[in-house]
Amino acid sequence: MKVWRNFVDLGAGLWTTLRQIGRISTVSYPEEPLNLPPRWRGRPTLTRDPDGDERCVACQLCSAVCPTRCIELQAGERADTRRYPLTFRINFSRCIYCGLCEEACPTLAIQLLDEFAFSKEHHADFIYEKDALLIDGTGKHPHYNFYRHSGVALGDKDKGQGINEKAPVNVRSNLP
Amino acid sequence: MRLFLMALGMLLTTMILLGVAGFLVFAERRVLAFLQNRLGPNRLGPLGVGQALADALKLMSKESFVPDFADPVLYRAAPVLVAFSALVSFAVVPLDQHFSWAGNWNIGLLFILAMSSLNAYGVFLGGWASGNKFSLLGAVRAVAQLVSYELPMGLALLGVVLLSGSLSLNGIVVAQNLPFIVLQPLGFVIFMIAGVAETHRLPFDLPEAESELVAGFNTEYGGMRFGYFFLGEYLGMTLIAVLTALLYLGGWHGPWLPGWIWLLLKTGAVIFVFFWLRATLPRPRYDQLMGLGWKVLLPLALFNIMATALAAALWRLA
Amino acid sequence: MMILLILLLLLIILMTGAALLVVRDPMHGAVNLGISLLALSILFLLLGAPFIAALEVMLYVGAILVLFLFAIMLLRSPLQVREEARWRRGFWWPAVLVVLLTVVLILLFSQRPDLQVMIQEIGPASVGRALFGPYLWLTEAVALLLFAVIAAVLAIHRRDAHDT
Repeated sequence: MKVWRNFVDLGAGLWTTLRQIGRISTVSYPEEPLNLPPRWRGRPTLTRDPDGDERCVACQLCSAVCPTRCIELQAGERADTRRYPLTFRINFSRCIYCGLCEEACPTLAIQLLDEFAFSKEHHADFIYEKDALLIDGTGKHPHYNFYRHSGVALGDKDKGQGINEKAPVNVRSNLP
Repeated sequence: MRLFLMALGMLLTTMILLGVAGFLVFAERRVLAFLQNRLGPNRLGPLGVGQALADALKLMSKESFVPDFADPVLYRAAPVLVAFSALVSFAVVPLDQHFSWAGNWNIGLLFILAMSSLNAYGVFLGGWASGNKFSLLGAVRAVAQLVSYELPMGLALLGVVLLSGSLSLNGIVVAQNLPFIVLQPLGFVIFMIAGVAETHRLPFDLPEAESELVAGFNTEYGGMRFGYFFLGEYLGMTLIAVLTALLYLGGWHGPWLPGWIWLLLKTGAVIFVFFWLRATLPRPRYDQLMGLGWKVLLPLALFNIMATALAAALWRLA
Repeated sequence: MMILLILLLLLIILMTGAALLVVRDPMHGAVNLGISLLALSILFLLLGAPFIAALEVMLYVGAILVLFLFAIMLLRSPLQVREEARWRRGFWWPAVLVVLLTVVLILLFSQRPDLQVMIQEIGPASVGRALFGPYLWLTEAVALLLFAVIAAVLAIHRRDAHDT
C-alpha cells in the first residue's frame, strides 16, 4: 500500500514538472526589452529642473552618505547666488547602486535611472565627470523645482512666496 | 582492404557515438531548461545546437594537468577506461536486425554487464588516484552503488533472457512479438531504476553529489580528462536507453517506419525520461539508496525471476 | 596469428602476476590483478568459452576485486612517494620466472599445431544445459546456500532495525 502511494507521488511529481513545458519565465534580454520597475536603481544621473537649470546645489550630502565614497564634487556659486557643482565625479567601478545618494539629495537632483548594464575596458573609464552625468531631462520627478518650494529668496521670488510655503514667522514677537 | 574498411567503420561509429554524447549534453541542458521554465543555451547555431561543439572545443583546449598529489598513471588511465568501456559496449547493440557489429554475439548481454563493471573501475580508480578525500568518498560511493545495482539489473535482465531464450541482443529483439514491457512490467521498472543508478544519473548521482562532495570522483579532473568522464556518463545513459528500447520496448519492431528509426525514437523517449526524472526528483540519502537496492529491488527482482520462470513453465505445459 | 595473440595474453597475465609480487602500493597490486583477470577472460574468449569469459569479468573483476578494493581502502595509508630504486631491485626474480614460463609456454604451444582444430565454442546455452542437466543438484545446492546467505543478511539487518 505504501509502495503504491510512492508511485502515485512519483507520478504527481513527474506531472508537475511536465506541465512546466512552455511556460517560460525568463526574458531573452538583449532581444526582448526589459520591463524595469519604476523604482529600479540603475546608474546615478544628475537631472535638471523643469526650467532647465541644474537641480544640484552642491550640498555634499550625497558624497557624505555614499558608503563607498565614490562621489566627489566641488561647489560653486552663480552670479544670482544660486549654488551649483563646479565638478561632479562618480567612480562607477566603486558604486554599489545602493541609492542612498538619491535618498539623501534634498533637491531630487541625483537620481538612479534605468541604465544598468554598462561595461568598459579600463577602470579609469568608469570615472564619470559632470558632463557625462548631467542629463537634459527631469528624471522621475517632472514638475519638481526645489527653488519654487524652498524658503530662500532668489531673484524673482522672496521668502514666503514659494509653493505651499507659509509667510515667514516674525520671530521677534509671539503674537499669533 | 577488409581490415581497413572495418577500422574505418569502427572509427566512424565511435565518432558518431561521441557526437551523440556531446549532443545529449546540450539536449539535456535544453530539456531541463524547458522543464524549469527557462530557455537554456539558445545562442550558438540553430536552436543553440552549436553549444555542444563549443563545450567540446572548450574542454579540448584546456590544459590537461596532473596534480602533484595524484597517482599519475592511474590518474591518466581512469577517464580513458570510463569512455572506453562505454564505447565498447555499443559493439553488441544492433541498430537493425542486420545492422550491427556483434548483435548476434551469444553473450551480448553479459558483455554489456561486464563492461559496465569495468566502467565502475574507471570511476573508482579516477577517484582514488586523485588523492583527494572528496574524490575518494565519491569513488567509494560509486563502486558500492554500481555493485549493488548491477545485481538487480542482471536479475531483471534474466527475466527477459528467460522469455526470449537468448543472450544476444538480436535474438532478444527477434523474440519480441509483444514488447517485453507487457510481459515484464516489474522487470522493466527494476531495470530502469537500476539503470539510472548504474549510470549515476541525477536522482542517484551520489558519487558526484555536488552539495556534499564538491564533484565527487572527478573533483580533481579538468580539461579533456573531465570530458572523458562526461562522455562516459552520457554514453552510459545512451546505452541504458538503447538497452531499454531493445529489451523491453520491442527494439526495431513497429509499423510504417523503418526499423532503425523506431529504435532511435524509442531510445530518444527513454532518454527524455532520464532528463525528466532528473528535473523532478531530489537526491536520496546514501543509506536510502543502498536500502532501495538491496532490500527492495533485489527481492523484487528475485520474485520477478521466479514468477517469470513459473509462468514460462506453465505456458510450456499448456 | 591466434598463437601470437594467445602468447601475448599469457605474457600479460604472467607479467601482471609477477608485478603483484613487487608493487608496493596495494592499489597498484589490485590494478595489476584486474588487468591479469581481464587478459585471462580474453584468453577464455579466444579458446572458445565466451560465457566463462563474460563471467570472469563480471564476477572476478566486477565483484571480487571490488571487495579487495574496499579492504585496501579501509586499510589505506595516505599516498606516499614511491621508491623507484627498491621497485627495480626486487624485480629481477619474478622477471626471470616470467621469461622461463613464457619459454615453456612457447615450447608447449609449438608442439600443438592443431590448436585451431581443438577449439570448439561452448556457448551460454550449452553451459546452461550442463548446469541444469548433469550438475542440477550442485546448482541447487549453491542456490540454497545463496538463499541462506540472503536470509541471514536480512535477519541480521532486522535486529538493529530500531536504530534507524
